Amino acid sequence: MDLILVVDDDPQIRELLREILEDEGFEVDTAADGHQAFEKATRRRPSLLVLDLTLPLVSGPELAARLREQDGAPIPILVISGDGRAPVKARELGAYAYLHKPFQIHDLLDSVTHGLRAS
Amino acid sequence: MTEDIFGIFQLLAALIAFELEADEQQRRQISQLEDSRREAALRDEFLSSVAHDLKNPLTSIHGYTQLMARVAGRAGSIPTTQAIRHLGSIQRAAARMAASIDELMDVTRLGADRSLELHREELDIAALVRDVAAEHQQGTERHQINVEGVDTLIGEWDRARLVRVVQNLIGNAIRYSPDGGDVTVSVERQADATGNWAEVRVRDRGVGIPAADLPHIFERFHRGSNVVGRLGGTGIGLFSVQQIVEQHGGTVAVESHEGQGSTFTLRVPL
Repeated sequence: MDLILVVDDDPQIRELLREILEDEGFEVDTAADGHQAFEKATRRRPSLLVLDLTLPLVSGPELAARLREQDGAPIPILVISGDGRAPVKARELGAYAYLHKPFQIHDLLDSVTHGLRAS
Repeated sequence: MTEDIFGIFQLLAALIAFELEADEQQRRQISQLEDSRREAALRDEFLSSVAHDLKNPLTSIHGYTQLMARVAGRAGSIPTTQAIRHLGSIQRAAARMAASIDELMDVTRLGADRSLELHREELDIAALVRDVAAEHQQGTERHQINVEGVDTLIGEWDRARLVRVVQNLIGNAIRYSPDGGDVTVSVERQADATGNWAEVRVRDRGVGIPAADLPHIFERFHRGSNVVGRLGGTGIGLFSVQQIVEQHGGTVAVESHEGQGSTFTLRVPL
């Protein structure tokens, strides 16, 4: 089954994304910061990363750069953020798509499906 | 001849004075420009943090309502336990938004040098601290929040605002110890020559506050130089804490060492 790793410092957003994605039948794990996300992604490589940009310890862009340095196929990254400059930042860190908070569930699921197909 | 030389000196003196005045004026203009740039940067950062703080609960409300409609649309109904869980999340997100907006309104009012209208009622500050600590504990696995001290301590305070004070202090202790660890909150009854006090102390082992920032930490929009751009925050939390505590006739103090953590101690009269 495809594992999706959700990384957001807000526990309510992590829980919401978990509920939505599990409801669609995905296996979901969550991380509260970039450091924890890196540890989890190293232990078991997710099929897709749903990423917030503002994270404590290791920021979203730093996390993306560290994951790219690892062996294996790159993990597709979907950025979800409320930051006005997020589209630019998402492109810079190599994300394949970007969603603005608050998002529509069907947009999220379309983006996730697209990212998994492309990987 | 002497008059001519005197006239030249006078002219030179006037020129130098003019140059000095122009320099001074330029320096003043540069300094004003730097001040207004600094203010604009602070304001931009504040607005972006506020937008972030409001957008997240809004995303929760928006997301759970869509999810409930989706599940109900697919199955014809939604299991009661799931509905209760989602509605609880919506309620918490709405309460969080309301609290953020109330804080913003208070800060705006205080910025205009107007005082807060306190709604005092009899309440137990020890129970209030335990509730806020339990709520924050749910949101973190990396931190252990320990509550110590008396079981009950009754006084007359503004409940919503005191909740905000304790929320800001415990929230900061968590936010500014990103590696996790213990957060200790104690509630004690203290007495001195000035009267009886409820004392709440919040101690963390986090990033601490640089010595240069300590004198400014309760100023509106001020944020520690070691957290700006690295850890979230609006720069109004501690300003809010100090204003609320002082308007209750109390005090708030901080002790901190960069890299070792911070202890905030607040006292409100009993």
